[in-house]
Amino acid sequence: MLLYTYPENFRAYKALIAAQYSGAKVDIAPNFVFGETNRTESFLKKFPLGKVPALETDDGKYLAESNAIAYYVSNAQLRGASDFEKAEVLQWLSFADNEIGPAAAAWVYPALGYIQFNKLSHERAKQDIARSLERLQARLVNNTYLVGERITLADIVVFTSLLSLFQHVADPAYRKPFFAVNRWFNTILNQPQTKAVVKNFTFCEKETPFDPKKYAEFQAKFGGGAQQKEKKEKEKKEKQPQQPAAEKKKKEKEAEPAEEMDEAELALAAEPKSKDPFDSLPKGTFNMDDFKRVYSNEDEAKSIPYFFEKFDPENYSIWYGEYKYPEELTKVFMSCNLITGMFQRLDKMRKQAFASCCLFGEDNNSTISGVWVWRGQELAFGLSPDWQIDYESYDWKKLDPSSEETKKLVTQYFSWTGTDKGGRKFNQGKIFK
Amino acid sequence: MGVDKEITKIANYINFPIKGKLSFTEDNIIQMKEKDKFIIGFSTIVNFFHDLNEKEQTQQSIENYYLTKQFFDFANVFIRSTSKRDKYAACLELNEYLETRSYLIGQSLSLADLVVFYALNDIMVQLSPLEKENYLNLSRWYDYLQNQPPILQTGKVINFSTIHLLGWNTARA
Ligand SMILES: N[C@@H](CCC(=O)N[C@@H](CS)C(=O)NCC(=O)O)C(=O)O
Repeated sequence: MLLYTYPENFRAYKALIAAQYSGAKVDIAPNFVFGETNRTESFLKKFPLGKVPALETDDGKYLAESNAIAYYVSNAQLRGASDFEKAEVLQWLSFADNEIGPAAAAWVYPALGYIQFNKLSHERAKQDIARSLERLQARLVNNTYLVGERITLADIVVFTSLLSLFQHVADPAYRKPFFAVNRWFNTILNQPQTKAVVKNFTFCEKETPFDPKKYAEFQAKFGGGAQQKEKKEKEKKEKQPQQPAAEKKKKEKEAEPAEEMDEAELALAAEPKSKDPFDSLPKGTFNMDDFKRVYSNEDEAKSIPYFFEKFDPENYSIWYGEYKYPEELTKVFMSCNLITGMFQRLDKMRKQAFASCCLFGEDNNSTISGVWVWRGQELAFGLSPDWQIDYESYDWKKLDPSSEETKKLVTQYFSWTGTDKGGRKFNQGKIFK
Repeated sequence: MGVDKEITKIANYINFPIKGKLSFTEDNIIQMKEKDKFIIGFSTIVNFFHDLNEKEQTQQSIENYYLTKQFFDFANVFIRSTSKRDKYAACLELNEYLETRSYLIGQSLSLADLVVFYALNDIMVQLSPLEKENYLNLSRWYDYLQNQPPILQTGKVINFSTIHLLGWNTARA
């Protein structure tokens, strides 16, 4: 079976997890490009709404709607043991779609910058979700799972509908009263069948606040204007040789008032491919990759002058970041893990950033600091919600690229020499590139 | 329900042929004859099953492997204690432990669940509805296990339905 979807689509998760339980062989359609593949004629012939997830069976049957797809690939256990249990499963699928879904979107989407923040709908969404969680709690206080005494599709679907809430906006204090829901959520999350599908989940520590900048960037990229225009142009091109009747219909459709951000556009933004947060900033003349190549291959005597020669202060900036809590640093290897862990979490930032982070001192007496370079004039961590885990543990200072002091500092950090402010000797360095 | 019965049920659960192998020593300690040797004592026998099961089925992490053993001792020493205080302390502790967990170890059934479940039976049948409410999480876990036919086997189902209304009031955001 072939499942059409973009990556990390929570609706596709339902079917993918269910398939892990049933052993149904579900492959993700290769080369699927959201917004393109699902608008082609051949796709629309199979799936007239052009929405994903969408399933094509081995014998050429077509199924849309994520719940139906998940049900189809399930096994008997997941569907429920009796007629009544089957109906209960259905009850929870509707609950997820109707009670959780809309409120979750209203709460999560502004946080991700997809839609404008509105205090009233924010508050209402939080209350609605609390009511839904209470409803779940009522069941889960006395029962391990939602239906019967086994994992069913109900658990899988409700779980996936909570994922983005628990990852981005529902902080520990908000989740705390729902201890039974938390217990259950953890159990589903940690089933091997779930883990095979849901790879990058982390619990929300702090509600991601609405960031007008993020929203503006999203609008610029995908909002009304840009996206709509692109869509039209494409459709025009595709449609030209067609009969006038079809053409006219299409036109009428397009004439409808620009709808609010639809799910397609939201998902587009979630697509990793089109989502280098640095894309919104001007490229300038400094080529990060070239510099990294020189830095890796040449001696610092060459690479550092090269850096200053090529550096483009208009469009790039240099920063000094110092770890705020050196008193917590005990073992050197643990401090190194702190740095490499941060680098890993900032993985997507590598494309347009470079850093040398150094550890000075020894066990129980050390500091961490580094020199960073990235595209743009602001702290780059604001560009992506994925980048906000570590940076608040550091004090950040923007350096003046033309000053002698900066030159010295850059030289020191890029060549791993010298001491920290307290005279501690250089111990180890890590390069983010 | 008697240690011999508990051991028989655990053996059944892991498909270990137990028939005719159990007896008691002169000091009234349970023993199991296995290949001309006697395995003596509840914990030793259960640990024998644990290792067998581990080899053939589960493959837990090392931590969970030892945690499971700890639960065997916990069942033997506290739940089966002759002191009523110990028993109730054990229930309280389990109840707290199970607030954040669906199973005793990891995120699936293990022999730890089974051993503690059977050992608890005598206490659970005697709990009043009010007491069951006090052990809310323990009751949820126990009810879940007794609803698995391979675990319950010939046992009797204990009624927990009186507390099923309580859930509506437990979370106030
Ligand atoms: N109710 C559907 C919703 C599917 C849906 O809205 N999919 C969106 C992506 S999340 C889509 O494919 N939109 C494409 C479009 O509207 O053109 C389901 O659960 O499968």
